[in-house]
Amino acid sequence: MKREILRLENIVKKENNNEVLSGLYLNVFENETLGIICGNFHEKNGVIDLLSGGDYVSGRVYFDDKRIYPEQLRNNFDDQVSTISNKKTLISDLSVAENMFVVSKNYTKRLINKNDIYDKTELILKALNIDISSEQLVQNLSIVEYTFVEIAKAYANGCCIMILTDLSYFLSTIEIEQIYKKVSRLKNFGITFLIIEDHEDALFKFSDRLNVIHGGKSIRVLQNNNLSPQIISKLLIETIPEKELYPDREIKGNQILVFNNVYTQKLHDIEFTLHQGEIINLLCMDEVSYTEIVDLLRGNIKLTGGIIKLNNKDYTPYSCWDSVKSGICFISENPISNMLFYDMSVIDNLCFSMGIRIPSIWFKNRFRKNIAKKYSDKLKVDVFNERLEDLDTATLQKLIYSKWHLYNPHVIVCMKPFTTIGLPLRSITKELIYEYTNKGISVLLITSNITEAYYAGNRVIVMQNGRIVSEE
Amino acid sequence: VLQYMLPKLILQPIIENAIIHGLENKISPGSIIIKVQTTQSRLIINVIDDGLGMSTDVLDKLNKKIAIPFAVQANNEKKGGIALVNVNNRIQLLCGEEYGIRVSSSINLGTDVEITLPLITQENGVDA
Repeated sequence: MKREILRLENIVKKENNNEVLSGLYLNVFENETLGIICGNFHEKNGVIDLLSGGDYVSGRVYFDDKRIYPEQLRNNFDDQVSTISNKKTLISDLSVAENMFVVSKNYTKRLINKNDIYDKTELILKALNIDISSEQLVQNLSIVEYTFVEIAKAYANGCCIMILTDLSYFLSTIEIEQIYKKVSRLKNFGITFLIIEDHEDALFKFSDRLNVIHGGKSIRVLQNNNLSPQIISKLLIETIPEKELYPDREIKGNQILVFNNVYTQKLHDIEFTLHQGEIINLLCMDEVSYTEIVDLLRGNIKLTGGIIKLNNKDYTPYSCWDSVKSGICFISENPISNMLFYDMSVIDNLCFSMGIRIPSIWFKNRFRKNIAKKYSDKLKVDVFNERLEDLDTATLQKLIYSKWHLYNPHVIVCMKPFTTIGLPLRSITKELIYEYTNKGISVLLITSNITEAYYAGNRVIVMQNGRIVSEE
Repeated sequence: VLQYMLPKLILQPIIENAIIHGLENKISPGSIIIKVQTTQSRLIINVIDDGLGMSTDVLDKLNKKIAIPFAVQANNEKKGGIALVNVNNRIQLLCGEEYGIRVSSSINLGTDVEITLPLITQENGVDA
């Protein structure tokens, strides 16, 4: 017999009057790792919110085989379910032990017995095989250690379901492996794990079962031995025709971006060349390499040696705005949240970057009408009147990529472009990146996820500790 | 799971459907997996085929038909998908509304019919 910890039946959930879940079925057994993959981030957020005790319109929820009514949901889930994500929950100025026991609603004592909480923490960390001192300040922990402490804290507080989500957003592939290896051990302590990720690699490797959610419904539950990227693609991207977007071709264009013996405080002897219309994946195996290379390209830090050439001219920007003017544009992580102005119209969002080149664009309707004509077919919206809040995520993603398509820079730097998006949107994003290259724009994809690095493009350059360690 | 009982003619129509609608027209070899598991209070049977499956529209119509309570089904609504609706009605009349069948399917990937029943033993009747 399997002990069923959680069961959701025919759940309907709304957000801003839109139905995000419309018939969700989910059952979770004790000591298992259940993977959940969603078609888009609305569904994903809906599932996470629901599992964190959020409201729902109709359906039935059972916890440990007992029916839980909507008004009881928050109380029950607060105690039993814990979410580990990119949202930081620990207090950095306090020690590991203080975070685990004092900053907890279960700690009811009036006075803090330091020895007691340190001993308890040491015991738990030892039992979970986590090699961190209980007296260490949280601010001195690495990101992986921080995540381990969050997991240990959830265990100490008696939670029986842990939701791990968006780990690929802030951890490298190696770090994610470390976390999930620990998770496999923790299942022996009676904890059930839910992995809610956009990337199949972690889901395939570590899930016992995978629940596929699409169109707000659970469309399939697959066993681990039945998992393959092809099946997931067929389930989630049935509407997108499979076509060869970018056949392998030899890149013989001009040298657009050249890194020649580049040194900064943390980068050492970086050397590579990006040709016109080429895609290079820069796979950063640690956070230092990732932030340093992004900061350098954005003009936040200066070179200490070597030279960077952009279209045969020295590239030494003093700010992000200056790098855009020079011809390197950026698409940040999670661009739908970070790169759009929701109180402006679609056409104004499109024209925003063009205002750098043509300041009079805001006064001359002729320009704006031409741009609208060019992009309304692609975006399939009324660019003058449609509100951004009413657009679906695919259109918003197209709008972001169209901004730079219109601006036509030399290089576009995409930071973790496939990390926080679902599978259907990933295919659209890949198509949009290839549109850049077809126009002759070079693309530098910077990521810390191995799967993401091989998802699109020609070459992969691997960086570790600020150095290039391999190139394929 | 062998100690548990189920009402008669629950599995047969579903397996017949899997063969006729799922596998019969499939060119390559097909298989049907029957998975039975128990939880604290439920017997869960999955009949999974890797046949032709059905489109989202057809599946939605079928699931809607299954979800309509027996008492309010009009005569014309009983045509098509009758076996699944009948099985669901019989389970719900015998065991209660929280039990029944649920169908998930994708075109060219097959169909999964999940049947949920209470734990019924020879000695105790319903054992939950």
